Amino acid sequence: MTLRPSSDGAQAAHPVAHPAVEVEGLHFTYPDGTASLRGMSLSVQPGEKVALVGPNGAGKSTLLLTLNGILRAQRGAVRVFGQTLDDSTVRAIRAQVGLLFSNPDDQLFSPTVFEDVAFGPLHMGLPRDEVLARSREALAAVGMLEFAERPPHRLSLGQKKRVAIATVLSMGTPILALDEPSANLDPMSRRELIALLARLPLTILVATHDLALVADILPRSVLLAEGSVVADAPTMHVLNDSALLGAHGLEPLSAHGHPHA
Amino acid sequence: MTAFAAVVERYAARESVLHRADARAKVPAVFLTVLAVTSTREGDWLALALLVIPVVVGAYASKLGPWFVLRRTFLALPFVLAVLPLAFTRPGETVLTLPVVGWTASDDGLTAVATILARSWIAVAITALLVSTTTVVEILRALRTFRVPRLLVATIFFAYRYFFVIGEEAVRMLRARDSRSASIPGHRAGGTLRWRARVAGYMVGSLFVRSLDRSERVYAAMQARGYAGEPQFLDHAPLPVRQGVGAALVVAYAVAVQVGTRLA
Amino acid sequence: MMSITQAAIQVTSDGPGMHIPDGFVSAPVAAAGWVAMVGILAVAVRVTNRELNEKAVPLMGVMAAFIFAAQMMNFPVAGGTSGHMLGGALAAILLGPWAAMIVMTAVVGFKSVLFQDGGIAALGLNVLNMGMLTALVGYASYRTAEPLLRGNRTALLASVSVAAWISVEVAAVSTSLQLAVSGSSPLDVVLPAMVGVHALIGVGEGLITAAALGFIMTTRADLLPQRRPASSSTGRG
Ligand SMILES: Nc1ncnc2c1ncn2[C@@H]1O[C@H](COP(=O)(O)OP(=O)(O)OP(=O)(O)O)[C@@H](O)[C@H]1O
Ligand SMILES: [Mg+2]
Repeated sequence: MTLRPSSDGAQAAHPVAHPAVEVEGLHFTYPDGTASLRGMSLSVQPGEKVALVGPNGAGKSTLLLTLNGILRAQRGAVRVFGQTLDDSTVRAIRAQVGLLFSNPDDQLFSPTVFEDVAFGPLHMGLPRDEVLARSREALAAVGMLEFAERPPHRLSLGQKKRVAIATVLSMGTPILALDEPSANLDPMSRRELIALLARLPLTILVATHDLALVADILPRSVLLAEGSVVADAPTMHVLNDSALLGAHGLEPLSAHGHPHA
Repeated sequence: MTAFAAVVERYAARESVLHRADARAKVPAVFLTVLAVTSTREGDWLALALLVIPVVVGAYASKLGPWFVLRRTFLALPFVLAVLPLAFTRPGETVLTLPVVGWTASDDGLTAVATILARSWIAVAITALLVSTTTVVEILRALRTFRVPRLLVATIFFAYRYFFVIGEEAVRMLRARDSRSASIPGHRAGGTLRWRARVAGYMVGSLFVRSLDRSERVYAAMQARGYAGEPQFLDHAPLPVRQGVGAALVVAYAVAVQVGTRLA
Repeated sequence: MMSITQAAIQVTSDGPGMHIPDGFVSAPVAAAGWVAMVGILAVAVRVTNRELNEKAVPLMGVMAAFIFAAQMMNFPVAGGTSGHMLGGALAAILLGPWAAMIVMTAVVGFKSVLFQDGGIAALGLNVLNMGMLTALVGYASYRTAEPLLRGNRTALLASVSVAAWISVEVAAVSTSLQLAVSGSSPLDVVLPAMVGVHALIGVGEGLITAAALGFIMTTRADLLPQRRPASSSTGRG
């Protein structure tokens, strides 16, 4: 079952418009020999919000890491707005794809919240005033402006996650790739995160096990298993297909968890 | 805040002139003042008395109070053992003889010991004032202005940030070990010394593995945000002249005490 | 929770009696320590910048945090006292001497700022003794012994133990000399005392260092520098 809402037809209508992210026949094997992507293909249109779901070890995190060249696929291609990722484009592409790592303690490496949020714009070579303005704006967007001078070790996990998102927002990338953004959040922090993601007008890819979040704000779902795409369809279709979910170690949502929009 | 952080950080959150003072003024002022204190000559009681004044003023100006500062200065105490022998080995007029062992302490020896202890106490108290009124982050930021190589400053920043992450990991491991270190009455618990040291070594090894993996993930997170090997810092507003002058006055006072008592 | 943490900090800040506080060494000796430290650091920064390039900062920063945490890994000795390690030799064996010196500088520097464990005028000397000498001596002893052992694991770990022990003793000798030159302690008293005490402390250092290395050899030999290919380490997800 492979339904593509962002079909080739859409592209034909706008011949100049490239997909935001295009992954083609991607193969990736870790140095220890684990093959984690085996011919993965995927295309995401600008403004789309897409869920990457699948069991542990399916390759979700690995896929996200290839999107801005942290990992380089051995075969296949990654294109961002039509630009193929290679040595000469990797730095430009990192300014297009903001990556949220699953563990905020890996992502927040600066001594204060503000310096961390400023790290991206600063290393992109922006002028000081713009760095400051963007950092403040990003912190305000996640409601963490008042914590700007705190060291990260004095934040709760939910606050760390929000700051981690701000570190990506401040870069002003049109594409966000988020790895398990809602993991380990309490219900309140999780709701705030969902509201934040819902109102961001960006192309967003979310790798997650949180199917309720998927149902809430991500209209399209891509189901991965063993390094390839096994389903790519509107979220409602995927989440209602209990046979498909069951076959890949996922549990269907209880009836009231569904969006009926 | 984590318990680990609570114990590690010595900064005392208060509001005072000293808290507000810029670390870029405080750090060099404290460093140079301590160096001046360190050069007090043996038996120069006047200089030592004059150098206690800034400590007392600082204790009140920081609103920490003398007791707070006093408590922080006991840290250097164990080292006292290293200088005590001086009292007995310096030649000079005998002022007291230890019963039983019969060692004799000379007047010059006692003077030397007292001077060393006094100047050490003053230096430690001055540093305690700095550390209790300045956050670690501010102290680190001050490093940038002293032409410390970027690589070093950035490394120290990372070290500070990850002390807390890896320190917490270490504490969790210690807790796991201790919760399994039970003993049954009547049995000698805990194994041999060698075995216990080896368990600690295994914990160190496993902490290394985790830390190295973490450094790789952190590196990836940096790359993702445009890092290409050259650490950049936000520059901060220039140091207000008044702050610089204040710092210079403190240092000048300490130097004047040393010069003045030598000339007098 | 608090009690364990406090115990951990206690152990760390008590140190093995080598952190010289301010006032115990004369101003010229302290200043000489700073000059030497800055000079050596300048070389270390240049070398590590070249050898580790982009990775230098995250690697050395996290490793400094690791050594600091490793110093908390104490083990009960007797009568309520406990042993732990300094880690200079281990850092040098794992990271090479130059990176280890930077890492140890960060650790010793932090302890003097966070705990006032060692003075700030005396920081140069403390870094030299506990950070640079331990790294250099530990590394040199280990590298001298290594080729003679033909890959015999037991002999290798024994030599690591000895290297770590020597590194602590050399640091103790150097500390004694600085105190003696400053006129703060008579050499014929402080030297035997420091060397004697650290002969015991060094045994703990040796045991922990060897056990830690043994653990890494068994579980993740790929992480050891001799066997770590330059590229294998990019991006672990
Ligand atoms: N650093 C690594 N070295 C070797 N193999 C790895 C590494 N990271 C992941 N793998 C392997 O690659 C495969 C895909 O892992 P990945 O982390 O992408 O899965 P995931 O879908 O994100 O899983 P999860 O839901 O558990 O986060 C797994 O088999 C995993 O064991
Ligand atoms: Mg994952």
